Amino acid sequence: MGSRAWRAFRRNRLALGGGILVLVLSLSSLLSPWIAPHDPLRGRLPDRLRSPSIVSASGKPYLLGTDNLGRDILSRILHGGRVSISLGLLVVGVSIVVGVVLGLVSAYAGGWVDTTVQRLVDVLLAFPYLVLAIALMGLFGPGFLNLVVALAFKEWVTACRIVRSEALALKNAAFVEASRAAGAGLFRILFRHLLPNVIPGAVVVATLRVGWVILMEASLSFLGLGIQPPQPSWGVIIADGRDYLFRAWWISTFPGIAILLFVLGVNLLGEGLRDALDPRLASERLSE
Amino acid sequence: MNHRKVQFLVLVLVAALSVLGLAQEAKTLVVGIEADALTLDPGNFRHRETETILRNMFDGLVTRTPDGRIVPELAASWERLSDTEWVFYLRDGVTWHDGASFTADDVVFTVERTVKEGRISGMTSPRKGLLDPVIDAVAMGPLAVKLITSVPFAALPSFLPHTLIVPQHYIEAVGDERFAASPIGTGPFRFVRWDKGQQVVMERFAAYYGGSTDIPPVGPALVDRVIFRVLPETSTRIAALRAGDIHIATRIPVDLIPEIEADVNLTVMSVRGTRSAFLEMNVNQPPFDDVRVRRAISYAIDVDLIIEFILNGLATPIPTIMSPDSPFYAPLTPYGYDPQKAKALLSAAGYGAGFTVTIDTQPHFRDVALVIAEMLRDVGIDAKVQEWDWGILQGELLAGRRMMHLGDWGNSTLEPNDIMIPKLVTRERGNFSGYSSRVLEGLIDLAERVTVDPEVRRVAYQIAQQVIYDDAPMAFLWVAQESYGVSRKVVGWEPSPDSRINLHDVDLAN
Amino acid sequence: MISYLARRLVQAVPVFLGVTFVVFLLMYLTPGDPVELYMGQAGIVSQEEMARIRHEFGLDRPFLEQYGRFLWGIARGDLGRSIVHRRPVAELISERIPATIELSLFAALIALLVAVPAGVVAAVRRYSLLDNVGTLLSLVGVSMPGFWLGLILIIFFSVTMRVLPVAGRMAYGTGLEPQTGFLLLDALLQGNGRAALDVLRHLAMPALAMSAGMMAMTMRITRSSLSETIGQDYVRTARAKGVPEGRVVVRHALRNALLPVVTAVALNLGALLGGNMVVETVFAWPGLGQRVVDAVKTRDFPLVQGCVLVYALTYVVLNLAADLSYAFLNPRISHGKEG
Repeated sequence: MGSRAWRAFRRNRLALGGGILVLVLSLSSLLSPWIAPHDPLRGRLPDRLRSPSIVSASGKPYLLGTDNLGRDILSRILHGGRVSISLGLLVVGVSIVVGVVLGLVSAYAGGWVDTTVQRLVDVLLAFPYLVLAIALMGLFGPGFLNLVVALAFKEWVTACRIVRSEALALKNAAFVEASRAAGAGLFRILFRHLLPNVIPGAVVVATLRVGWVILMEASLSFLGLGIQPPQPSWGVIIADGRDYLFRAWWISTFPGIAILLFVLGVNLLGEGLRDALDPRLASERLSE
Repeated sequence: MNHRKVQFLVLVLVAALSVLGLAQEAKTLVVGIEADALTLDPGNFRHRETETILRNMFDGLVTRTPDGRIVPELAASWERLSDTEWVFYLRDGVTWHDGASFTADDVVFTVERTVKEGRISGMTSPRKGLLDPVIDAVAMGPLAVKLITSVPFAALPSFLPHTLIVPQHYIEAVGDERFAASPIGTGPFRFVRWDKGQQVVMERFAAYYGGSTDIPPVGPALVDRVIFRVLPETSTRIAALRAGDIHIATRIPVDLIPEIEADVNLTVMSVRGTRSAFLEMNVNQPPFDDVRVRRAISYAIDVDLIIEFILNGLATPIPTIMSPDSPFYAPLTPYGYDPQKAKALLSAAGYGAGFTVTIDTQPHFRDVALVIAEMLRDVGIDAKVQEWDWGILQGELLAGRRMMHLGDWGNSTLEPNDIMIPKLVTRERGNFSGYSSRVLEGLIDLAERVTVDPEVRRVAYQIAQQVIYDDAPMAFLWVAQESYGVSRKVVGWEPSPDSRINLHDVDLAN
Repeated sequence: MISYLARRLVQAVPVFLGVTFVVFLLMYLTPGDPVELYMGQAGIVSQEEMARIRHEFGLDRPFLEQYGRFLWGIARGDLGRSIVHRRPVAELISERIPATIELSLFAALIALLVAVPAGVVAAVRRYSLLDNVGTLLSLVGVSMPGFWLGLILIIFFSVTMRVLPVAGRMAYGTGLEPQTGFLLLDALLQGNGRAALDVLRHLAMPALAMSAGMMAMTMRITRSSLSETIGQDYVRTARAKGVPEGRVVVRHALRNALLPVVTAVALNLGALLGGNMVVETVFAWPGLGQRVVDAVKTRDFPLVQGCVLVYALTYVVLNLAADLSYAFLNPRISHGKEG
């Protein structure tokens, strides 16, 4: 990020706030083994469905209440953040790598390579995201890595399209032509010249998509196809608590707020980055 | 015009006049159900909610009382002619919703449509298996039908409530597809409309013959209209009940009972269901190939504690796979909670240091599975829980690739063969423990194919349960109660063990 | 124009083939036997009976033969018969489509009505307090899980306030006779005001829950696109000529700024049509989303394939619509020359 961009970013107070939100939530999730007040996986059955309280007759209080198995909601949210956030980062990370590589190759090679990749993109785009994810989770079976693959299976398409269109615009730019004339090889052109120029766009989109992936995981959990128990993710805690909404509103409400804050933070950050890095970048879809 | 048609018209007239005379607003009872009917053809589904809905528009030859007895419905009585022949004598004066008379030909038509191949839109009824030993039906006059079975089938009456009688004249006139969308039956309510995915609406059939004389009151239904509204999401169903949109909500999870009871307008009604829950072990692989380890597992699980805390007390422990409601139930004493004995058995089997195992289950058993895993850890077994999509897990279990499965199996007929065969006979479709016992299979064969003597059958199944108890291919857990959220306006309804929702005798107070 | 349309449709054929093949392969490879699942966890079923059902649905044939039969069926307009419902797939899908379209269109309408004006205000008053609040609110909308928002709406409007029905599409007893399946349209055609109101009351919460994400997206795009056009020469010229500011924004800038908005809305409509299974489940809305989730869980192969085919078709048609609307809003783009 250049100093001009950095100044623009800092001026944008919303983006700064978003960055702080993301930082705080990520750090507290990362540190959850040390800062969580209770065991997130094992509960005390006699303490089930306790409402949020700052005092407790026995030992440490349940600040955000307990769930139906007597597990502390705050500890579960802190712990669940590790799963949700790392899932979001991992899915988007994998997708960016795949998308950038395929996008660059597709744009630069053209011809049948381009056609093949773009047909694949079209086919994947024609699938509703959830249907594909559900089918893939069925195929692979449950598990964190399988979930990453199922979500990334279509996710890379977004990055691929953006990178391809930017790379196409740059392909015949003067500096690329010059480099080619000077005898630069394919890899040098792709990775030394094209890559740095398409990276900012990809990063902005990636940031915005992290939130989307976290929401998708929550939806899959709602449909019963998410992370394995007893391991919580934010989506799993919400989905588990939804039957208790009337009696124990805190179970679903607090992880819902955690998702809301994190995704909000990520989106503010992404928008800020976009404004700072590339004001002309066409608004990509936030949701699908 | 024949006698019965005149009778029908008079009844309709009287009903119409009484409705006009009272000039009251129609009493509408709304039931919130978790899934829509798949079809309205009683011969073409295998689906619990479809049956629940259809049984208010159709009747069977016999039915089951809320306490589980088989009593006459469209049949007035029956007798057994020989080992493989039964005669059912039908009630006189029963009419279809279009006014035509119900006769023995309808029963023959229904049975043939169910057990013979290619009879419904060119395909075979998926309910064939429910009547499997029945191979044919013959009318013996307008009001008597003979059913013929391939082998002696003593349990026939227990299976018959699931075969609802359909109208021959109507199906032959309109075809299978039209019938499935707009049916007529002989039941207390006649079909009005089906907004697919939303609701099935039916109205009182004024000329109803009255239903089973063993289940009073007898006569036309008390409410004017019944709506089954589809509400798949539990929290939505409960919200609808609390908002007053529906009067009865099905499948209330035990955890949510207090919430409904907190509402002064609502109550919860529970009935012991017919599903036996258990923890199955793969008997063909170590460590569960050793019966001592399997028994240790039974001793390690505190069934009473789980029932008290997780199931709110709404379950009955079982010593083997049979429900206490079955007439064949053997009153053995469950293993009971004894962690010391469990540890001793594990040591004796050479697993004193414990082992690692994964409990496979489905999301609705998650809480129980997590607690059982804790209990197994207390006796030194490192137990984890894995949740599966049923479609995948089923295949894994049948292939013998999993070690431990927490699940349940339905037995709505309460007949032993109906649950012992699929769960415990070699290579049957629900035998996830891979259990195989010549003794057990010999006993089932004796009771189902060799004899029809009630006493011999009873003794055979008593011994069979002792065999299962000793071999312990599963740790037997409980039969859970099924709970319904009910508005206090609903009068005269009680839940039924086989999850039928019979609205014939129900009224709504103002 | 016609030849352009024809070319686009021809280009869509490989997409269809790809989609059907991928879904067929996925369902074939995914563990789980539809007939075992259909029989449920209760009672005795013989192996012969299950084999007969497999045979009746052609599930015992080799993969390529099954796929070939499926394609041949499509060519004849026959999508096959559902294993679970035992009814024609075409019927099972078409009875669900109006509900999904009605809900999606309504959600899109709510999103547009709120988001475009909000986006205009935000663009005109860029970086003001109003803009920041709008940005924040719109991002809150896109950051909420849809089912969570739905449940909260139910608790508030149905249980606590008791002003809206919890779920479903219509009450019984308004005298509405569904004809087209689009209930609001039916109510209006039949001149039944009471039914129309009832349908609207049922639509309100699920449409709101679904529109939250789209609202945010539409507002952001309106804002960025409009602030870009406002800075352009011809707008500045108009302003310099003394055209009032409101007129400048609406007449000159907005028309051009709407281009990307329209594209995004069209593409997102496709996503709404295909991605609302969660909201449909919460509100017991009898749409296609619920149906496809059930079909995947029960491995009802013919039904899954039919649904995915419909989704693919929707995607292709909406993409085409987006491109055509581009041409309509911006006459400079001519499809005659484009490849």
